[in-house]
Amino acid sequence: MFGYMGRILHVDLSKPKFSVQPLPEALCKQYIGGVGFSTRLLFNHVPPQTHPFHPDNALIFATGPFAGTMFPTGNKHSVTTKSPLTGFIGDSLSGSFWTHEVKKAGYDVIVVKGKAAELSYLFIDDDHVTIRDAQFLKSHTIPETETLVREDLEDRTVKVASIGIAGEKQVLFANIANDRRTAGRTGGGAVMGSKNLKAIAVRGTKTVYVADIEKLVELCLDLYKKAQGPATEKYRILGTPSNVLTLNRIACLPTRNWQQATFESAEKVSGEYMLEHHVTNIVACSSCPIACDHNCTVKQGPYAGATTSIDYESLYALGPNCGIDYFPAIIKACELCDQYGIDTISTGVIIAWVMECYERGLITEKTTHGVEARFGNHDAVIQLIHMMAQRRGFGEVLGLGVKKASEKIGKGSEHFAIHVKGLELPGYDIRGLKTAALGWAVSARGGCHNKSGAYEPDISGEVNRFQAEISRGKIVMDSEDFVCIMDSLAICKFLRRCFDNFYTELAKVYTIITGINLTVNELKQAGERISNLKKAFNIREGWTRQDDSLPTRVMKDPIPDGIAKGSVITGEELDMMLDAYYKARGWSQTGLLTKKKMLELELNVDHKGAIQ
Amino acid sequence: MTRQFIICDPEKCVGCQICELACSARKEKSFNPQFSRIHAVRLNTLVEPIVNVALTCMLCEDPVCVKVCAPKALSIDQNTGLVIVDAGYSGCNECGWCGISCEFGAPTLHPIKRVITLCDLCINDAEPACTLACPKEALSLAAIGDVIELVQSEVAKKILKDFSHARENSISLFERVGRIAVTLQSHRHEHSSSR
Repeated sequence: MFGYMGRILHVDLSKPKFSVQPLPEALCKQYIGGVGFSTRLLFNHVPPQTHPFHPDNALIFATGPFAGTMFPTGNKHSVTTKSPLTGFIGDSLSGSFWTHEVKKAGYDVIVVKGKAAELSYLFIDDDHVTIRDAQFLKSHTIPETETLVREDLEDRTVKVASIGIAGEKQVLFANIANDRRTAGRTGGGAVMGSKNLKAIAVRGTKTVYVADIEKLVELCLDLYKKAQGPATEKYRILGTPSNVLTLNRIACLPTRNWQQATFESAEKVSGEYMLEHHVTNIVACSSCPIACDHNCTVKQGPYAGATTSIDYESLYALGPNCGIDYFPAIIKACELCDQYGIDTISTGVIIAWVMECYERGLITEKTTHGVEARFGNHDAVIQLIHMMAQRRGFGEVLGLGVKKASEKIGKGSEHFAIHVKGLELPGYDIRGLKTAALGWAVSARGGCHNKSGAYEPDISGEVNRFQAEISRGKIVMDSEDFVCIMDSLAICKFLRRCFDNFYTELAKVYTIITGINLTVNELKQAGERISNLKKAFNIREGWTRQDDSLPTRVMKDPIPDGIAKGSVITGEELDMMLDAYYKARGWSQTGLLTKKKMLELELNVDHKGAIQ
Repeated sequence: MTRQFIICDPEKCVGCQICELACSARKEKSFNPQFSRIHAVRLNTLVEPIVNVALTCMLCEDPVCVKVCAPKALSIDQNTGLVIVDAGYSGCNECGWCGISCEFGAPTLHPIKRVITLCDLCINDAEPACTLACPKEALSLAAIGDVIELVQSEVAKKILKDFSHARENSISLFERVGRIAVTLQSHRHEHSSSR
């Protein structure tokens, strides 16, 4: 095969047993790769109503057909599982050298099921797969684990994806990281921990062949040039933290647990401030011509020596959302999250919720085990991260995510628990971004900016962001399908503006790389198919229309400040947009898949989500 | 003929590995970093800033690799200055001495052809694949004289930066001169230790 390696590796940790399944060609065209492959395999291999921590739950790592080639940003993989945080499909992307190594080892997909008897790690050495003892890795951070595994295998070049202490302790928003990159959201790390799997080390020597290499090289050289132009300027110069001042200006920067939408100290946590004071260098993922990874270091003060990569979402969650304007503390907090292996967005949103509970007197220092959890107290942020990542004391409850934690604490704290389907929200105040609000509400994995780019028409002014309209249903649908294609090919979203006509160009690239003829319509339909299958999985696991909702605060408390003052999303507005979205999708009014749609997409599932 | 080679500016290199893939595509019509004649190296020490650099054959005038090659499979092409590998029966025996003794780790073993491969500057093409592809223009084809000039101008820039910084902070002339001396000294040290 061209592009693909043509092999799926199945690992059963319980037995332990390994087997290789040839990649069915029909799967390639219909589901492309990455998220498409892993959604289909999750659906087929996980029995309905499986508990996320049951050995039958699968943890699926899937690369795309462009990985291993010189296509810009093609080295990405998806991590898909039934999420312990939401109970629905959990998919998250990471990338870089590990992805490339999996491809070189000769696999498109790795499906991990079962549970190892003791803490173990998997070593995939081309065709030779072994399970090795990982007791010596217990309680080690992610960077330490990467180094120790390399030492254990006596090879500096081995690539490692691993979990930290939080994954071992099954913190519900624990993540899986490799080479400074993280599959951050929806708690894949907790599932990996539940399987007693500490790491997956990979070493590969195989070659990736493409159908038409001359054409591919020419096309890639052109894209590399475009990737140095205005299409990616934001990511290259300031990185995503350039959002801080932009969003603050338009009153979309959630501050102090979404009590405000502007932050009075935004300048001090801006991308501009970061570049001037903390960026030590900017590096790229494997095969990426953009290079957005801004490595930041603290030079002096109480957090001197802290160093990690900073992105906007981490910055929002652990900065303005917790009332923090001391940049070194944000770097320290992110570094801790990266070491423990927890999602920075979830972590920041949970801490902000704790702080509001504390300030409103719903909890006291007795509850927090002595932490004075006030907005702006960065010491409290650091202490709470330690507690929740280790599930120590009050951290035991916090490790369940903001939805379950607020249900436990009660006293009305659910009102300001900022999540959709249990997944904590990223840093865009959707009260003043109504297309995005619909996108967040319907997202299969819960509140998320990566599964639909629905905020783009709002922010660019293409639509009136303060108004809810029927037309937003179609916008959100198209945006979700578009993202499904990016996640399945799997390429980085930061490359999206480098194309004049996304579907036409990518369908052409797909054929150049794989040799499989794919029309623009077929590519578009694959996006729709993958979106629908994610939904079918959720329906199978008990989804109802009530799950497509928004946090109570977003629907009850209008934005109090800035140019978005007074904006809120009413129940009527959300209902109207939901109806429009389901209609655009060709689903029933209750949001269920119709027989007609399933036949049209050859989905092979029934309306209750069972395989036909 | 002026001796030229591929040089990487670590200040510009982001460690994307595209040079390796472009080299593999040009030379072997497929993608495998192990086929590449140039090697992207990333040092991530967790405390220091991450170092990215790409290393390949420097076309030394009196190359160690040629000297240590027992079967005499390596030789210098008199016209181009390139190190040529004899892949024939009595040629390269995969011992790897050349790779071990090279200061830049440039000669590497081709995993399928089982011979040592070395950069040939894509001498038969219009431009080397790696310099053409490098998205950050970190790679260039340079002669030794150009490199020295580049180093000198970098030193000058450093001094200028320190000088203006000193002026902004109204540091005394004495201190300014001291700083310049330190910069020069540390640079000289860096330079000599890299040799």
